[in-house]
Amino acid sequence: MFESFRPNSLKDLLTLIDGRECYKFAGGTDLYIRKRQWQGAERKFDKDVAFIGHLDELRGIERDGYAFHIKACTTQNDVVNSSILPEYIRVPYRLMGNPAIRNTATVGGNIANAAQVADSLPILYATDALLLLKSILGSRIVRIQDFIVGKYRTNLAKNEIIEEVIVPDGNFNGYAYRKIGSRKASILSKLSIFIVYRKENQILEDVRVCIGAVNEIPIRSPEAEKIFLKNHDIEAFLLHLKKMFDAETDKRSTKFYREEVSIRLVRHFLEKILEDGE
Amino acid sequence: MNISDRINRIDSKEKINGQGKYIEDIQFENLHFARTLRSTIPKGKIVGVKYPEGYEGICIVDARDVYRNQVHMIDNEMPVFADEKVSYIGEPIALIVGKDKNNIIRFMNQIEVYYEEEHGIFSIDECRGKTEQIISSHRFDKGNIDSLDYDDVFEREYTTGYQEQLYMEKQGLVGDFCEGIVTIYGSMQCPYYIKNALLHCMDLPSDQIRVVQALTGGAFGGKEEYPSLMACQVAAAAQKIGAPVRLVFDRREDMTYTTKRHPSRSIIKSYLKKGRIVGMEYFIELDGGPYAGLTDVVLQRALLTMTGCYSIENFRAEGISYRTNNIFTGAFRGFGGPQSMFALEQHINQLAKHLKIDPMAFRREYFVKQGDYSATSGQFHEEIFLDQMADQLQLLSGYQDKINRKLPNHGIGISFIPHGGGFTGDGEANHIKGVVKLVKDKEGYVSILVSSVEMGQGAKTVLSKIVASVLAIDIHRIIYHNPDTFIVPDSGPTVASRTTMVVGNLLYRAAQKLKKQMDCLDEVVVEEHYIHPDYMVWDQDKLKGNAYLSYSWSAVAAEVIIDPLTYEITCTDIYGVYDVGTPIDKSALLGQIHGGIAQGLGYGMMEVMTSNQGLIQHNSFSSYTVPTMSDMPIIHSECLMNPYQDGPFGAKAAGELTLVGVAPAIAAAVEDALGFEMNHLPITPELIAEVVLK
Ligand SMILES: Cc1cc2nc3c(=O)[nH]c(=O)nc-3n(C[C@H](O)[C@H](O)[C@H](O)COP(=O)(O)OP(=O)(O)OC[C@H]3O[C@@H](n4cnc5c(N)ncnc54)[C@H](O)[C@@H]3O)c2cc1C
Repeated sequence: MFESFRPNSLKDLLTLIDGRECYKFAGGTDLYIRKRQWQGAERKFDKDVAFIGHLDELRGIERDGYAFHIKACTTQNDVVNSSILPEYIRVPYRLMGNPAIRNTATVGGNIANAAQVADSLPILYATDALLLLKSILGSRIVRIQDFIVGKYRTNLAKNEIIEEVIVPDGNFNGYAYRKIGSRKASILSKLSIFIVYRKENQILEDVRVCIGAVNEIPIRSPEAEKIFLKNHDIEAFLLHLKKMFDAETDKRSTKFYREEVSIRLVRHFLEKILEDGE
Repeated sequence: MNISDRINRIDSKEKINGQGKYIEDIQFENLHFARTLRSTIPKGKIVGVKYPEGYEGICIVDARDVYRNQVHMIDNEMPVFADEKVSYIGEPIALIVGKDKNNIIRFMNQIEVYYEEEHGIFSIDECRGKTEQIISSHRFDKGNIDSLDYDDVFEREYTTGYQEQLYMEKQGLVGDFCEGIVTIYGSMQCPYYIKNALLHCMDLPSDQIRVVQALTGGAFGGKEEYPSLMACQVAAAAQKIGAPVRLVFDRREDMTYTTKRHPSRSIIKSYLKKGRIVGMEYFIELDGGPYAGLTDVVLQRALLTMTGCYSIENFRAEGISYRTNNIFTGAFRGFGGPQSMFALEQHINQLAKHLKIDPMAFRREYFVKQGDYSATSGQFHEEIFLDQMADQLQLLSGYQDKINRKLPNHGIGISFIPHGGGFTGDGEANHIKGVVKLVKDKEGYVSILVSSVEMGQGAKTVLSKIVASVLAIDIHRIIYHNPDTFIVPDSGPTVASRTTMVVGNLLYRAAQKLKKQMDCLDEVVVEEHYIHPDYMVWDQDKLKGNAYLSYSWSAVAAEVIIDPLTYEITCTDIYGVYDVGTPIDKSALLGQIHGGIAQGLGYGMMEVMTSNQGLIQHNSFSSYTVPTMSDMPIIHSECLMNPYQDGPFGAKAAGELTLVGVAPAIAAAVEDALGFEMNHLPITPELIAEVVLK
């Protein structure tokens, strides 16, 4: 048996989860489904459940001089419809799930769930996003790369929640995104490519390339990006990425396809980015 | 009512407004729930089952509770509950029954089943050459294949994977036992198959067994034979505890353990002389899973139309179905046709390319005509308009322009498909012997009494229309309840695209008789029995003669665009020309066309379903990807009117045909776009990458 709680404030929530270990239930589109056992029977929660999705304190999108701040329980659809967020942040969310899921699923849930196929991770990796984690004892800020430890593994403490996602404003003026799934809508990724860049006066000043869903965690190499900015050598850059590949064949796709198509798409996008305006 | 009037579907209102009650919605007093204890290994002996102690309100129903532990399908080899041995992962060992689902789950989590595992067989390759693995085999010749004069041989191998029916409403039945009568309610295609299965496994006379269909949310063959197994189980459970027992699968359970389309492997060898086909050999193998079920019928249907739309003088067909420890495969819309017609149509395309002839022109040289002989050496007694259909398709699709234009990464492909209506050979006469009844009451309302079910395909609308049109009465004066075997005669199962053509024709004749008595003030009952047309000649042992009452035909063209970077396929347009005799209801037919195209598109290029050591891997909506609206092509369809003399108002079979030609046309289009042969279904970007890059 398990108990479920619906705290009235963030503070109550943090107090609650400090005392007992709870599942944090935001939209429930991962959690509730994973815990099913038989339609009409109880879900198999082996710990208590704390609902968090209703807390206004955990919803909303803001922008300051340096970054975009997205509260953890902001729904994917809030992101899609945001007038504050730039398109390159919104587009990956627009291609997740389906309308019903996007109305319920949250930004924090996608991160904390840390699935290999989590579509928000490439954009967050590419932009060096930070997470504001909070417990009754205080707050800490971690880089997304340090938060995600592996497939379905994060270093969130039991008494912590993700309060906010901070996406630094890199003054990007271009992006490319491609999600590959086995159909055109409502589908999990076989792979996804996310690229943002800043190009001024025909000079490429910044570029970030991230590949999602191929390895257990997103693939990105800031060092290779730096070298690429200097030498514009696409093949050398791709060689670097290839060394990082660790794909597997599973029910969604094959290792060969994932790696090959990732390379083809990154090459294609980088060629276009270099060409544009030249 | 006039047969050409367009009407709203009779069943749509209750489905749209939510009033319709599926088996999960129906309330029963003292309802118990059942969950299946399943084998976790593909093959082995059950050494023992240890049930936890100290539980109240739990009842175990297993082999010991069944009078005769056999599910009667065509044969009786499948047990109701596995006893002593198991033959596939998921094979039912017992039902755990109770009123509290949570209690059932807790109980089940503590059950331990001890096995002595044996070596399983999981592929057609492993079966080859092993006679003990053969479920059934057939071989027949036409002409003389052994002494051909030829100068070239063209041979290819084709394989197809599983396909899941994916009806929206999962499998579900309720069994009740009350005053000596066992009643099965639920989602089904064939009330009398279930009744016969119960008659076999229970120690009850016929008049104490009752089967009532509930509103059924899709079936596609998936609810043809499988519900018989479930019915035997819930009947035993209901009898044991004396209360209604509901068995409804969860989606993943349904996808993992219920029947699928047979995976296949075909080899076609064409013998050529001066660029003309002088003979063809065709060999197909199917993976039937652990029990025969309907596998042999699927194999026969794959073989019987093996020469497709073409007249091949010398021909040999051979087919084998194998026993494996994979999931048990069964009925699915198309019934062998999707496998064999993919192989044949791809072969014809590749052969045309080999001979450097346009695939449309090449086909025209071989199209069958009235009076020609089929693969089974039966004479085609109807008029056949394949040439006209080809003309119509060329016009509709702009075929010539598109073939000539040759845009990069664009492709167009075609297929021509026959589909036989009704049971094969003399099946309608010797096995089914369909009976229908019409009852006019004193107020002038007419009840249709048939065992044919509405499962979303439009049977109620179409059959009601036929009767109302003959009687020239308003359609609202027709009553057609879901069949109840205590009330309706056995008009046969709702399968094989036979409902409109065969059952509809019985009703047509019954209505003609009734028409003369419509003025009678009393109740009038009219009964009509199936009569086999005398043009049908059939030898079931040799598979020789007229394999089908009539054939429906489709000509399909598919256009695709392939992303040169990712090899993702977009099917932009499907063009279809159909000869289904006279369409009884244009909207219902359009529904079949659109649905058939969606299911065919999935089979052709999306629905990957694999099995690993007997366990289905793609068992959820997220991993088994059926097309969404965004994946659907623009559909352009036309009909060619070719009334069938023994069909009601000239109607022939339509339900399965619309699926069969889609995948071959898409495969041909992909070949056209890429220039590489595509010999496996489904054609995924992964497969293309393998073929093109490796
Ligand atoms: C039909 C369907 C389609 C989908 N399609 C996609 C898709 O295309 N792409 C994709 O990436 N995902 C997809 N998903 C997965 C899912 O919708 C997302 O991962 C979603 O973002 C999860 O958010 P949620 O609020 O529902 O999370 P929940 O299910 O509520 O939580 C998921 C996990 O995160 C934890 N958690 C949630 N919020 C917090 C927080 N603030 N702090 C700490 N821990 C937290 C929970 O404890 C739980 O472990 C799909 C799911 C479904 C059912």
